[in-house]
Amino acid sequence: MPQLGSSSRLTGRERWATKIGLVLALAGNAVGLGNFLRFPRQAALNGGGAFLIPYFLCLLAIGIPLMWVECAIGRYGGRHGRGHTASMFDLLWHQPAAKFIGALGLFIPFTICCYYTYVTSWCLAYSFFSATGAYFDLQSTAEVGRFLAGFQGVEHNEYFSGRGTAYLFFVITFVVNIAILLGGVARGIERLALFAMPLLFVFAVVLVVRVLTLDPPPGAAPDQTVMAGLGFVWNPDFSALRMPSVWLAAAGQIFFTLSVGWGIVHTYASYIGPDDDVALTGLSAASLNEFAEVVLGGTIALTASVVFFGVVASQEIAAAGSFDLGFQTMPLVLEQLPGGRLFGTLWFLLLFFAGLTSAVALLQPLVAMLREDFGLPRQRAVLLTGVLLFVGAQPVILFLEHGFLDQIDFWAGTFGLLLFGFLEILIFTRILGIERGWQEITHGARIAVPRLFRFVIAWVTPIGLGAILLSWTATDLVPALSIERIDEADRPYVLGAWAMMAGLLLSFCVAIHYGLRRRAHNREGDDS
Amino acid sequence: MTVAGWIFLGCAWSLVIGLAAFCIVKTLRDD
Repeated sequence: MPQLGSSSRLTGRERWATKIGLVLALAGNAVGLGNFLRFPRQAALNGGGAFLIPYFLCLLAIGIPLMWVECAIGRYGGRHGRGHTASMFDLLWHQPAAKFIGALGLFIPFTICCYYTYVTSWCLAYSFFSATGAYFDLQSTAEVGRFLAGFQGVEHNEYFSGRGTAYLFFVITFVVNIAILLGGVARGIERLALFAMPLLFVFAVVLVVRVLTLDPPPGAAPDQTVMAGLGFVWNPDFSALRMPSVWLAAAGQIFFTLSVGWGIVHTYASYIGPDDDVALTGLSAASLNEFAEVVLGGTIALTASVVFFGVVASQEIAAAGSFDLGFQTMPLVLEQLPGGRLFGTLWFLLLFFAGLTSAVALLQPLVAMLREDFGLPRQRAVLLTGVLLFVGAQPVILFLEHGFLDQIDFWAGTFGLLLFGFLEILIFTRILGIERGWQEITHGARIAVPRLFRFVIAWVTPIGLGAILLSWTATDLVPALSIERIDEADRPYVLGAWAMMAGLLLSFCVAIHYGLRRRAHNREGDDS
Repeated sequence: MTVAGWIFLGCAWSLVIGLAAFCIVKTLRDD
């Protein structure tokens, strides 16, 4: 096994131009729709302020350690000219299984991107609809739901006659995504992060101020106030802490919000210099994500919902799901807000930027593989990635009403992440070994990482991740394997989604096998 | 909003804002 801290083989590899650019790019990867829609729901449904106790404990025990582990693996791989998890794991563990476990770090982000780009384009479309006031006459969540269904092409109605509008916004988002990737790491991804992330925070702060200064609507019930809205999210219910489900919800929220287990942090960290810090970088990205989540996300959507609809209705809204909160409840809130068109445009642009910075990140591991293992120049690697993404997104767009997107989100976007996160922490702590792993995390560190984290990473993080995976397998995975639970009309599409994912995973495994062989062959040629 | 709610909100916001500010200032100094 190669020695850590060995000399750089980064010749010709791209690098981040600035540290703040890297931090914002990593934060951009982490900050997504979940920060603004999922977190407030999770807090309100799982003990309010008391939820923050397991939440912050899990941040310390799972979130930040895993961020450091992924940054450390990434920088280690980059030092040896490896920019994706398959080749990094192959370097860490010389067993055939390693590169196939690492294949998940290419399969997961690409597969998620097939629907994430489409969902991101909805935010851009709704920003446009907010500016033009297209949905401002709708009076109920049912009407807003029909507006959304018409937009998505799920039904033909008086609002939309097909999915043409949705497709147009998808193409715009797709082209922007590819254009950014064509710029490369420093001139594309980093520039986007330096522009979009500060703008996202400014928009969110403006919205927070607007929500906190809301007056109750005319004829409102006594509980329709900003204070009641904040209380809905923050008043602690300590009895919730006795329920294991609340602790698992907190652990799951931390895992998903930091976007660890995707294979992206590794790729981004591979462009760090061999002796540059990863400890402060990982902590900075995590803390920016927490600011966006706890301070901004925890204040906007549900607080506004309580002011306009009251506590009882907001409980139903929170229970209905993040998606309903974002695309069915928030439009109704925004249309009642004084200056609603402006604030609606800002709200959906904020979600668009959050989505775009993540969508760009989702494609970079594949671009890195095509460049490094197959020797393609950047432009050809990005264009090939774009073609694959465009083809992969078509069934998601065309078969949306048959649950195609939900299947990919479930298998790649939830199960895949948990499995990959669990396997990578095992490889890091048990194959590489905690001693070497700790050296790698603390090498070049600009902050003193408490030695307690050595124990946490070795034991607490793997056990915590194992517990989430096991519990999720029992509650969600086993029932999902039963095809009988799915509508008969949707079964061919669900099977199609499974076949597409299996085909993609197999294709990635084959490509990785030949790519790494080609890389090894070229290296032997260079040596001789 | 109860007093306990304010305490939780205050502690969580202080923690998160403080940590983010510390990290960003340190990162910017490094640049």
